[in-house]
Amino acid sequence: MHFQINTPIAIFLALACCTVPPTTSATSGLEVMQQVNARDDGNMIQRRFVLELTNKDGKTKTEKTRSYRRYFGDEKRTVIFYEEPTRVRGTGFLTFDYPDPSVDDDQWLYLPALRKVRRISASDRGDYFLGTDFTYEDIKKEQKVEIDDYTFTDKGMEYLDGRTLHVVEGVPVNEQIEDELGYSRAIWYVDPTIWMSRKTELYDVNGNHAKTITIEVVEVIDGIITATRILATNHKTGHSTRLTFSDVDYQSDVPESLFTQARLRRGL
Amino acid sequence: MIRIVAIMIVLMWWSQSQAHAQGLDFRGTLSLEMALETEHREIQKADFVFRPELQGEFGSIGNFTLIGMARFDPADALEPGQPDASNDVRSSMNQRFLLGEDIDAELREAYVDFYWDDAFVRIGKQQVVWGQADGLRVLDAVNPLHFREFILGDFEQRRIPTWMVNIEKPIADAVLQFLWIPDKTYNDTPRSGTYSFKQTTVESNTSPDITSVLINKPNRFIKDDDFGVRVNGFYQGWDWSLNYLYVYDDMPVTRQRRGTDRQYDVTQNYERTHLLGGSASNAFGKVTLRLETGWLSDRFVTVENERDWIDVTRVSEISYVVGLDYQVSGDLLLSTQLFQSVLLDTPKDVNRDGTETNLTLLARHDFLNDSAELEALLMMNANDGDGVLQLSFEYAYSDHVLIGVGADVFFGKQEGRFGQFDKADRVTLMFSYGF
Repeated sequence: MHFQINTPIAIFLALACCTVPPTTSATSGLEVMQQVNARDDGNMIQRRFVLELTNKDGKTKTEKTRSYRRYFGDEKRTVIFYEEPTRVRGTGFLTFDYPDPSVDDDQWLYLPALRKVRRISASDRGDYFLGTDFTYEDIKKEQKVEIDDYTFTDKGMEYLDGRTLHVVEGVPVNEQIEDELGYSRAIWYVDPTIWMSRKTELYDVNGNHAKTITIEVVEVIDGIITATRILATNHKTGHSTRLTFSDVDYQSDVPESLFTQARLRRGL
Repeated sequence: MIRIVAIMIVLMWWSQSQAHAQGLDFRGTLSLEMALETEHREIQKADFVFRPELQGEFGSIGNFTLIGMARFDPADALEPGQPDASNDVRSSMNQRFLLGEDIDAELREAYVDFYWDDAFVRIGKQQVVWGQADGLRVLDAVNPLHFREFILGDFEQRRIPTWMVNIEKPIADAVLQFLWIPDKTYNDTPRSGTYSFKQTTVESNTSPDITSVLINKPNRFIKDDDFGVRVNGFYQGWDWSLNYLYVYDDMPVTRQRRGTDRQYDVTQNYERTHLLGGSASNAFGKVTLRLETGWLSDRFVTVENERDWIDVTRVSEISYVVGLDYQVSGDLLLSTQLFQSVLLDTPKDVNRDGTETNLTLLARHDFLNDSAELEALLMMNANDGDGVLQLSFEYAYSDHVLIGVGADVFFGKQEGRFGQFDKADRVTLMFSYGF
């Protein structure tokens, strides 16, 4: 069952479901981001998502997918099957994301034109994900942050769009991380009622304002707070990507066999 | 022509809505693929191609897929006239439907999928692709090929899908695949046309003085069927597979004997062979390593002699591919492959080098948020120093429309596999509408 978080009932449910209480303004930036990372994202999930890619002229292309994610211990496996449009239908993407950050993900891509599952190198975390304005890191972390990547600074509270939000600034801990992420600075506007960053401002390695990620809709689904519409706007190219999730299901079993090359090749 | 295309688009829309109403998924592409031969400034092909695809479920048991292809090519230069069906390379259940000289159609794929316990079963006409190499075949030998455009064009369209039973069963952390292929369809090589083979190494060779050709094609049920087994898995970062095929080589072996009055008798036989091999791949940072090897028990090579005979001798052959992909950035991929095939126990006077070496170099750049792709692929034969450079640019104008331009430039000596088409360079144009 789905509820819009901006309805009074859903807000009540969100607060009731959230085991983590809101913090005070004295909370450090690190603690805020630890709360963000502590948010429950379910052991397994299946969902559809639609990607709307809009260029600077306002022309939009739409891609429809089905995706599945499941934890195998601390290891996270994700598989995405493209359904629309016809030119990308059948394309599949499988990732094994290991808990040790020093171990590269294993990734495979199935391209129907080749009829082969291709092993692909672990992308730089700052590479853009399959033509979108989200990076692989953005997609992988699902509104969370790799704590070890940043030094956090609490920038206090800010009132934005009717909400009081924690403002946290993050600076990569070293140049290597900066290069990997493609960001020199990030500012998160974290909503303490849901422990998600409602808005994230990202700056490239030259310090230019590169991108804004905005969570447009949040729902409580199966008791888990879920961002169901997210917009990434690339300020350098004028391109934007809106990611809309639907049919989100945390409760149905996601078979382990889905996360195999054979299944990637066969499709759903 | 415009009227036909308009009618087809209306029919596509109508079919799609009807299929959707029935719980079926109907989609496909309508495309125009043109090629202009630069040397003679002639249109080499003007393919109007319709590729419909219908998918559906039969209850909770499984699902089915039907993929067709209908092509109208008024240029008629790749397979001039009505393609000769008398060579009989396709089985009776794998025939193309030919309408006049310009139209051909075929049921490309037709299969049902279901699970039998934990085993996945696919029965019907299908493509099965093995191996890790791109554009070079070592283990990708399950399906025969159509050489209408020599090596040009997508492998997916060049492979001839065959009727088979395909079972994949998980065993521990691996998957065991079993193939039974009763469909006796082999490589389809046009006898004439722009890219008809001229070399003896790849041609179903004949001489002007030949008076009779006898083609012996396998036809016994089970005994002449092809079989394959593959085990593949993932272990400590490595994708691996072990492959075995017991098949008839898709290219017939030609033997020519002088008869009476300067006449020649030619026989073409399909010969059995065992293909045993494996593949592996792993990623190391931005580099992906791909390996593939195969041992062919029975390779027949032409032997030169002084009596104008085309004789052959049986050898075994080992082939391998080493591929390296370097993901320079999220948008730029560089890839190279080394392919070698080595004849074991090379006989004297054999009409090919004991070791053949091919190299490929690929650069692919995506931009405009993956809406556009620029690609350059160089394939070279190191023995003859010939090759082909393929350039292409594709742009997804919208969700439904894909347009592309390209060029295929052959170079090298006339005796070479690629160089023989040095006069057949071409530029290409593609427009595709997907629904």
